[in-house]
Amino acid sequence: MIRYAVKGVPWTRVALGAGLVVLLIELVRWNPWVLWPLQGTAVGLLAGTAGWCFDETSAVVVDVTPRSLAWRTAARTPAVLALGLVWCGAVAHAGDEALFGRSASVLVEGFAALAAGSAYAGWRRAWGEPTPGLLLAAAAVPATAAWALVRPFDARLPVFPYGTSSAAAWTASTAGWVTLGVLAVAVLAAALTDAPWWRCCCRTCRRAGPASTPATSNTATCRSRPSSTGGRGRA
Amino acid sequence: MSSATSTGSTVGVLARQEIRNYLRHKLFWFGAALVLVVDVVMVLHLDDDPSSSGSYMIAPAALLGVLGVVVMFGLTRRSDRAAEAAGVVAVPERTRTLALAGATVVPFALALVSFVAAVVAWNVHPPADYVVPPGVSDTFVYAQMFGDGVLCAVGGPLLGLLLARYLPRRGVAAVASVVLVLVTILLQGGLFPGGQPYRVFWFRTYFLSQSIEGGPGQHHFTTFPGNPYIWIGYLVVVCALGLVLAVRHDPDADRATLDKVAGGLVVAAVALGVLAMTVGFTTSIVHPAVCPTC
Repeated sequence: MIRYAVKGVPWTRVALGAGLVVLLIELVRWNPWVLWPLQGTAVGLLAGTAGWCFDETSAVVVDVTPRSLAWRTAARTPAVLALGLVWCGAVAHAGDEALFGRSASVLVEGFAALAAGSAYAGWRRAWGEPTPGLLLAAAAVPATAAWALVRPFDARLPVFPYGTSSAAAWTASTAGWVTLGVLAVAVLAAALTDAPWWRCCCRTCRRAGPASTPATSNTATCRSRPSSTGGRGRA
Repeated sequence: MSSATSTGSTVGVLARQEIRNYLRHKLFWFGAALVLVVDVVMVLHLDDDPSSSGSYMIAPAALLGVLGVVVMFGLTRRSDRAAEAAGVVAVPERTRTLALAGATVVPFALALVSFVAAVVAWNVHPPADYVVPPGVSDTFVYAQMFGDGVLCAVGGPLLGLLLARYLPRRGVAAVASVVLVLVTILLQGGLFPGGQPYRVFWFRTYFLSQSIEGGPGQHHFTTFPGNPYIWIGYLVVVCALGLVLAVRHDPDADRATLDKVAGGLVVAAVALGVLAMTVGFTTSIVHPAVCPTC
């Protein structure tokens, strides 16, 4: 498992992402009133980097080996845990004062982003996509950076609250991030455990027909798709 | 003549295709939808922003420019993959590069609409008395809006094109967007005493914003050193330089000529940057009234 993790995880990119996260939070610590958008940028970067950890560039070969997706995901999880530790360290070093007295909320944002990135990658990997993290990072990182810069509809939709935001806005934001994190963990668990309801919830299955349909070609399509694309890849 | 006509028509056909591809990109939808909603909020003054639309152009810059880096990077890589799959090179790389650059008309048009909306909002819902320092004209603000919004919305995709040509690696666009935001925030002006006059050499900066001195409720609106009119010229030249460098990547391109053009554009950019720092607006103008909402 360790050997697989060492070879499978794109450590250079993960290290680059972690380094950038530390740099961004250190800059926020230096001048939070002016540089606060970098906090949201760091959260987006965490999501993208977490997704990168699960990219399988050799999916065509690896997905048909006896090791299940759950095993391979577990092997790659230390990279996400390392990112979580980096995030904890960066937030702790920044301190409560630099984070407007809301370091716990900021911490939650990061962990929810890590969970969301991992869940998206796990979900797409379960359906045979080799490098979902790359797509996620390409979309989520700039999108969160742009959102953190503009902070549109901040009064009603406080995604990345600011120092002048009300306590209610911070609470609403944290509640939203916690919800995202819980949903992400549920999606990841369903994808990795091949939950019975899982196959019926995906769009592909709806097109092909419900999994509970008696033995028909549609059912065969629904149940065989993950294996045929190499997603779950059990022996 | 037939060769020129053929190349011209090829660029036109490909450019139309790339424009369609740009319009179909989901990240562009996301950015465009948010920009349009923010436009409506601004024009109808639903957010009661006392500075009116003065700092609004961050929306097209971030949502069309920063996202445009990724959109154009993806389109360029897709174009390259299609060309590789075709085997024999039917269309030279420089032609595809020009066609991709033509697709920047999409974010340009949307950003232009936003700019017009911002100018309308500035006049329909004028800013509070403490926003514009004495002696600063509306055209000064319009110049900042145009450079910060419209030209950044074009510059972002051109940067994505350049990155895809010279650094076509995984994750480059995502990391580049983070670095772009990071440097832009550090060079927005007002972060260091003196107003950072050298910041005019960056792609996006402010010329009218809040002062750094004082805490909440103690800030003043101020101009930062720099000439926004000349800065627009600087940005146009930098965009042209980016396009020339992207075309130059083609090994079959006329690199001797392109090198001369690029050299001329570099000289022009440096000259305009220096002029933007030294002509007209070399000191900050601080509004005497305190901004109560800053």
